[in-house]
Amino acid sequence: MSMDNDATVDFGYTTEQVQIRETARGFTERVLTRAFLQEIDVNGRAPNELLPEMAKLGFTGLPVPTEYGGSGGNATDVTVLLEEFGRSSLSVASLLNRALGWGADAIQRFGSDAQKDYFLPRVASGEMIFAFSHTEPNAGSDAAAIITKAAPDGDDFIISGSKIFTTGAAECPCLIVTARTDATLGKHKGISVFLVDATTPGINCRRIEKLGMRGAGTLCEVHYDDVRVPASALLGDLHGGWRVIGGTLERARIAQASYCVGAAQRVIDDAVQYANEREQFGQPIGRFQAIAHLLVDLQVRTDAARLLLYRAASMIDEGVPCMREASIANLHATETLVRVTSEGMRVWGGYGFTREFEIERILRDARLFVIGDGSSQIQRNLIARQMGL
Amino acid sequence: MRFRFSDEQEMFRRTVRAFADRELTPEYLRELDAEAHAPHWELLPKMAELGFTALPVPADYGGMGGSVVDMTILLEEIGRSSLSVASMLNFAIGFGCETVKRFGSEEQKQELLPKIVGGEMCFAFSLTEPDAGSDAAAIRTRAVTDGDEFVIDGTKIFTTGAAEARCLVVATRTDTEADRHRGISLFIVDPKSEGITCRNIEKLGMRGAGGLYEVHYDGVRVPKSALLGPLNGGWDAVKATLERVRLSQAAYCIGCAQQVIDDAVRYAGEREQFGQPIGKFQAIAHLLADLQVEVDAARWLLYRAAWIVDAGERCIKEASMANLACTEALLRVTEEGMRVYGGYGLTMEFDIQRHFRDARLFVIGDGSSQIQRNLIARGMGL
Repeated sequence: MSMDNDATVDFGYTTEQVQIRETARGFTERVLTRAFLQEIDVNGRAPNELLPEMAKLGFTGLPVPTEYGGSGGNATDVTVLLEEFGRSSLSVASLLNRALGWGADAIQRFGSDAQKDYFLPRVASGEMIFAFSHTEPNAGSDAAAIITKAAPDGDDFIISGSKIFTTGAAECPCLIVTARTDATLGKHKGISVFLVDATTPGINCRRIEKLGMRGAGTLCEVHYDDVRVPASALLGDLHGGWRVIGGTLERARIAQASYCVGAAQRVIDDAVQYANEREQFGQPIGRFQAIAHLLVDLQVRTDAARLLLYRAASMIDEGVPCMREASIANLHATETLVRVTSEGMRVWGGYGFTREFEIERILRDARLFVIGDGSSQIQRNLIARQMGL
Repeated sequence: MRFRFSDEQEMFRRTVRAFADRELTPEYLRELDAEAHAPHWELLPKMAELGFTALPVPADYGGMGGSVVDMTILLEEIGRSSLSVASMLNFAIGFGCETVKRFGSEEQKQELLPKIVGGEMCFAFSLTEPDAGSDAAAIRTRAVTDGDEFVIDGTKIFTTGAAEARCLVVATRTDTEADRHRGISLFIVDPKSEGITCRNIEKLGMRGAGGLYEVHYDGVRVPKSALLGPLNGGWDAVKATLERVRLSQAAYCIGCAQQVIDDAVRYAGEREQFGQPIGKFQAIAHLLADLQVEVDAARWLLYRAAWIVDAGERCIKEASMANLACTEALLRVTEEGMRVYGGYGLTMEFDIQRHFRDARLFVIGDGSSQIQRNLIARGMGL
């Protein structure tokens, strides 16, 4: 917490943050080679095998409190880490976030002591990754409209219903499932969250092929047919699930913005390098104002996105409510990435359309972020509400 | 990282706000615009009383030695009320003060800086010529040595405030043989000097910032001591000064943009159509949300650049980014925000039309958006 009221604005990173960035860059340059990233993309394969090494380097345990085997980093530290991973791979960054972001954050804030004891050390050691099973065929942007049920039965709950777009459901040890536990209460009041062992009988996944983010985990339709879970699987209060979801959304939005900013900067850096090498009409194409100004506008937008991102992260670290700022960061960063990939691709001409260059993959990946975890339209609704509209 | 201001800076912002609320009333600002009334000498003394004009002046010369972030706060807050007044203030404490502070002789500092503090000094920058706009180093106005004096001959255009200022900073060519960036020198010239004539040019906006002038220099004699910075070394001063002006400009643009949004949000909450406040329609709400995101983004680019300058680091790319983002944000906010007011936005009874006219200056003056992009591209290695 930085509550020193004599200090002015500061846009510098701490020594630790520079260290995190360098360690992450070292790892991504060594392990996330172009061939590796192409392989997970083509095969639609989630590289969960990376988690133990990422744990060893302290990545998965970064935000986990030290008493649970982590290093107790703050939201800004995590932003630095995810931004750096996003530079290499949106898929791998998002995979990492499914370990240390949504799941670990929710458990840290809303979990019982037993849940913390069980899950947090496993997150830190790279043995745990989550899949968030929330969206349903008729509950997309209208997220509180879910109808999957969890009915009490003795000491257990029985979950039944269908979820769609659960990323990573087929290859993770723990599903975070939202279910309606009281249909008589208001739409937002009767929801509960459960930590469900993915091997529990009654869970069936159907793989859905997807355009991008193919290395982030399988996109699944998940059927829960009378899935029996113990009462101890409840995360947070019974019927209090909306608070758990809402309480972690800011972090999820900031995480997404982090890797989008990292990826956008990478695309620009690669495009600048290419524009300086590629010659047409007797000079590098970057000397033409048509190309130079295109890249400038993308860089200005990306710098702005990064600042909005770190503003939101720093507000989390100061314990200040930041619904508005988190949505602003998310909207700006995700739309920036879409724009950077769409406009940046022009720089490569015909080569950008080939699988031999990376821009086509990032272009496909980018489309997720203006839709998933709150579409741009929903972010604008939230921002407008915070503006008093 | 820290995206908050110190308590002292927040208190200063409130002081500036209180001044602007009291002095820069809607009626006063409309009158400045309608009459193209220059507010210099009625406002600068009042600003001096509150210490505004002392802010960037070093303590050795009676000032407060404030940081660039402090200056940004001041200009942003005045810009919230009036782009014209903020720009006028910047001609006193931004552009002029900065140039004298960095490039002036001890004698010039002793003479001019205390006057800035006292609210008795305002500058005009006489650089642009009919054939030297974006290509600023193409100036042809000559300054020739004659004994202990220089004699200036030439024509400048778009010198804002030339007739209202107490000091003209004139860019001239002193060596025609040298490379075009190397033969330029700056002079501090009294606007009352013999041989100076100003022709007022009517303009679309920024009508309360001082007149826009074509200035003729016919055999204007100035002493050698009027030279600002080294002989033939004027281009460095021009560049360094423009970099700071870019931040000042960005500061008042972003203040104004936020005010336009706040006003539009209030109007959208009051105005009812189809049985509800128009702000409840997503078409209006999302339009305003997008403008707010753009303004927040531009504002942090601005404070980042100010922070870099305060840290004593080079800031050409970041200053141009801040300027480009803030001036284009203001343009967009005035164009899009105007839609919220429907037909009322087109009337002179609402202020949005004035902001809309004023905003056009900033994507052109002191480095057009196209020139900013050239500078940023260079900073990116293109």
